[in-house]
Amino acid sequence: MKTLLSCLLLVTSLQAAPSLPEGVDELLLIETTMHLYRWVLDEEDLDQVFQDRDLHYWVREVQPDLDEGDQSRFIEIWMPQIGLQVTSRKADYEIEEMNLTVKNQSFKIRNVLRGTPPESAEDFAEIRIPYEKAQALAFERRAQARYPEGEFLEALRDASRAEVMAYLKENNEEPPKGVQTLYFSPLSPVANDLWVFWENGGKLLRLASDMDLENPALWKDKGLDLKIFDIKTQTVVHLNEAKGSNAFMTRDQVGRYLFNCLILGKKVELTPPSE
Amino acid sequence: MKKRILFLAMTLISVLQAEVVLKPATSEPGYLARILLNESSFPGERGWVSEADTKACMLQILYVLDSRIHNIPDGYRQSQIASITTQNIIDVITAGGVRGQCDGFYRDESGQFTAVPRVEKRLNYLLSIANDGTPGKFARLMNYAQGLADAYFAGGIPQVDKFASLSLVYKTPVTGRAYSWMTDKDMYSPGGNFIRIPDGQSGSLSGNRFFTLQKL
Repeated sequence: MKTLLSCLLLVTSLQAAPSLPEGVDELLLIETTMHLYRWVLDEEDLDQVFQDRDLHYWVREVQPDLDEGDQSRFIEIWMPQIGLQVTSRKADYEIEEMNLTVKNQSFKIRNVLRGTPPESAEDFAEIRIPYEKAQALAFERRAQARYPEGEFLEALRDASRAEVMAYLKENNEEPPKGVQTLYFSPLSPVANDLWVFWENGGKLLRLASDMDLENPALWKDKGLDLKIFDIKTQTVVHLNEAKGSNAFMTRDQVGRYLFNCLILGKKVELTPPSE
Repeated sequence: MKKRILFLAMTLISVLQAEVVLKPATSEPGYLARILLNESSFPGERGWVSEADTKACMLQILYVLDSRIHNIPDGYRQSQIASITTQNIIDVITAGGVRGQCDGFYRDESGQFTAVPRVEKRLNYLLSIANDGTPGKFARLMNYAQGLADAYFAGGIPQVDKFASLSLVYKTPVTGRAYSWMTDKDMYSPGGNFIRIPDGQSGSLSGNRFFTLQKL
């Protein structure tokens, strides 16, 4: 009788353990971690990971209410050792007015938040990946960074030029003279974000989209829409200096963007339209 | 003949439905509609989830602006929450200047409320899609924003504030209502006594994060 009860409990427990959502595997988790490593993590975030020697992940699929016909999928990844929540989406929907399909090839990060992990992991698939394994893959991929190329690069050049010229006009500043130097951050396999550092102007430009950035449908017709930040006037040490405003970034944040553009990124030169 | 009249009537209805006409940016309802549209995600944009989500976001932004005037919680002063003392919603929007409370929305040297060119640029882009062909989500969302703004200046907000009855966020007692919103990224926080409303309490809408206040 006791054995039967034990068996039943075991079966229940085995049935209860959720599996990884479809499309999520170790590679996606490591690539997500690499992205966080470059853009989000601080030294102390890894303290617990080094003690445990494993990276811990809690993963589950979440299902927000979507419009009719929208087949997008959302996942929530917790890294409980760090107290980090990542929400990713694999978009799959139509924009009827534009006759356009927004479809991601894989899950793309929508949001990263710090916080207290749920008290229990019972609703999540639990995955542990040896840190050394993730580190080895990250090292191997270091030389395989991908950058905007071909038509996408040209679209980015055009968009950067247009955004810079519009910004200068808006601020009654003279157009730049001579060749302008830009640095593009690498493309991430798990995010649709790209940062550009305009060296001569001391400004950062950001491209973000729900669509995969390299998908020509994003930029063929309407071009790319970049947002510009003036590093000198829109950087603060602490966001409390600019309470309630989205217009500012911290010096720490700017440092990360510059590292990704200048050190890990690709240098591109732009000639002003008049030359 | 009947068919022809019917066809004309149908065409007229279709045109009326398709057309999104925002009030001028120089009018108060037009300006308010612009902040609601500027801050919310449309299909294809980063924070997009659904039509209902974007509409909810617009509504909650309107409630934030209104609560900064009419629902200052006990123990707080309006100037602490809105960076201004006023009874005028346009002042709440433009508080702090061009890089103030609502990035890009400000009063110019003459005192006229205005916005940086990128606001109108995006709006024109959205309008061009909304007014091209059969009306769809873009048109409905833009009309919704203008409708909210019109209703506000006509006397109130008919829909319910979903954050009105918030009393606890995790274990922290809060005042209820939202008093700030920011781009939904960890790096952004209004600081002070503002408390992030978590996903479980619908605090993330259309790429924005809403914040309530700690109860004093």
